[in-house]
Amino acid sequence: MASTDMSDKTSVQEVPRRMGLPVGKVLDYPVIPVLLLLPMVICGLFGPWIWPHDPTAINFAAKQTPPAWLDGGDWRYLLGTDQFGRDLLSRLIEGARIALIVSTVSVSVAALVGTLVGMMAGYYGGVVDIVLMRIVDVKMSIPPVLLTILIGAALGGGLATILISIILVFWADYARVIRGETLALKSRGYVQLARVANASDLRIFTRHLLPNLIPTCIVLVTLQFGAALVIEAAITFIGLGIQPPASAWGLLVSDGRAYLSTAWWIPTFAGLAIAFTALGANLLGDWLRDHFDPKLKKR
Amino acid sequence: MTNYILKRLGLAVVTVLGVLLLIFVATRMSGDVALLMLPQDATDEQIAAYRALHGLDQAIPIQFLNFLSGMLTADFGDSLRYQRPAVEVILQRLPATVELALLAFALALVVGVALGLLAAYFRGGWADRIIRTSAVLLQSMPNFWIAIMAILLFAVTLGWLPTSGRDGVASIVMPAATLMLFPLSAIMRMTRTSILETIESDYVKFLRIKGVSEGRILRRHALRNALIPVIALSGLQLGNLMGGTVITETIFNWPGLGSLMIESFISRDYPVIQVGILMISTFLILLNLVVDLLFCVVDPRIKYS
Repeated sequence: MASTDMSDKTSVQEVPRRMGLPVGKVLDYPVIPVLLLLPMVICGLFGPWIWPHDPTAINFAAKQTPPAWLDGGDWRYLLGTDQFGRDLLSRLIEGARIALIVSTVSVSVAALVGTLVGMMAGYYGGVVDIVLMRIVDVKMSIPPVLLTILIGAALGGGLATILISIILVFWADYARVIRGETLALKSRGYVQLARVANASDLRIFTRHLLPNLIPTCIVLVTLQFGAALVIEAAITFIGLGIQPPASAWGLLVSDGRAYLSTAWWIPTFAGLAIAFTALGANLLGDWLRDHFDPKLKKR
Repeated sequence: MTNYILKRLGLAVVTVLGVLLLIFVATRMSGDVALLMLPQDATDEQIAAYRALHGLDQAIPIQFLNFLSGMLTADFGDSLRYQRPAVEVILQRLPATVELALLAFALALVVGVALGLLAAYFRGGWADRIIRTSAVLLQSMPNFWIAIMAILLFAVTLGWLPTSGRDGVASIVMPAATLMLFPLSAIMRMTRTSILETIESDYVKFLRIKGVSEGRILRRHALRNALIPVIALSGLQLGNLMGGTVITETIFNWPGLGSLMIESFISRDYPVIQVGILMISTFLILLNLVVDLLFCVVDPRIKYS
């Protein structure tokens, strides 16, 4: 593989690499990112106790009610209703659960698999490494959406399609980064000494390599959490993901397309929910990277 | 050098084979093609004849070998939906996508490089901050949602642009602007980093010591060195862009390859999905190869390994 000579880059390190909002600098803790993420987590966990209406309850008498503060609005339906008179706020809260489940499960599985494969490829090298890198090549040459269409054709769409697609897209990112880090760690004195002392591979993996890889993993997990949210919404949006009558943020945006001229609030608020939550995850990831892992470059 | 090129070519072939295997396995997992493609009241004989005709009754490895030998003889199979060669169906939709993708890529390159330059030039200042903040915002906002908000504003409310379709110059404005967003922030970031690295380099420091003006350093010296890798690496963002066409074309009802892929997914039109993904992936693999090789030619500091 071609690689640029990076020997003369020390002076560039002084350049702040931070991509976060300037407000974040005011405080030492990631208050804004957490505030942006918190509503989604709370709604996802406690939805049924919070929502003001049953998200699937149809009420034709109140169909396409605009948000409460507008003409014709009704304070019982804070963000308005859809063409069946279902409460938008309740449907957004229900959608948070799908978003939370998808992001958490897909990113954790991808992190586990990717970290394990990356460690093995970096540590053992040889055939394992060659095969892994070819798989990564294949994955890199198929755009994620097309990979999803491929998986969707096999599984018929739905939650499983979303989860498998995101895992397949994400695991290779971990594998590549962790492989690189493991390669660097492998030649370090304490790992070499552990090998000389006849420590088992399992012990070297869990006691000597893993603790040093955890910060990188945490940063990647957080950044990918935001990306997973957006991808989940996109997959659902093009019709390969969550199916009605369930509620997901991507589905609300896609349903809202048909009623753009009469009920603009449905796609608008659903999109804002995705954007705010993803922004929170991305900012938190940036913050964690700056604080725990200055080595890791933004992709 | 020759060895390096041969090795890269070999790896590219292996990657294409891997893509073929992945496509084949994934599509054949999706149940019975014959039942899907025939009407509900089809007789058993019709189903059996259909299976025999399309080779669906043979063992999976044999189906894959048939598939591979078909590739070698450029026989990509017929579209199940249109009863025409899948390649024909795809080539018919290709021009619309090429038109859209090229325009979007050119836009992304111009806007991305300009913003990246601006951010690097006013490093640490408010312009830099605004540009980098919008990069994070852009990353967090789903592109399909931005597109729908644009339709709401420019088509539904203001009535300036058509909501969808491919009819006249006005109809390409929103699709191209949406598709541009997919590679935009990466190009912006690369430009900023590359310019900053160049500005910090020894030869630029030397020019400063000589008393050359900042504007002249940027125009005559730094820009040329900094932009070559940016433009080359931007080529790799075409992968991101090709993925984006699926979403963009679906939203704007643009009759291209991307919307064809979704239609084929809905009707389970295997041959079209297979050939479509194969073509796009092969294109990306070749592009990757060309970019790497061009890099070696353009930048003598690169090592071969």
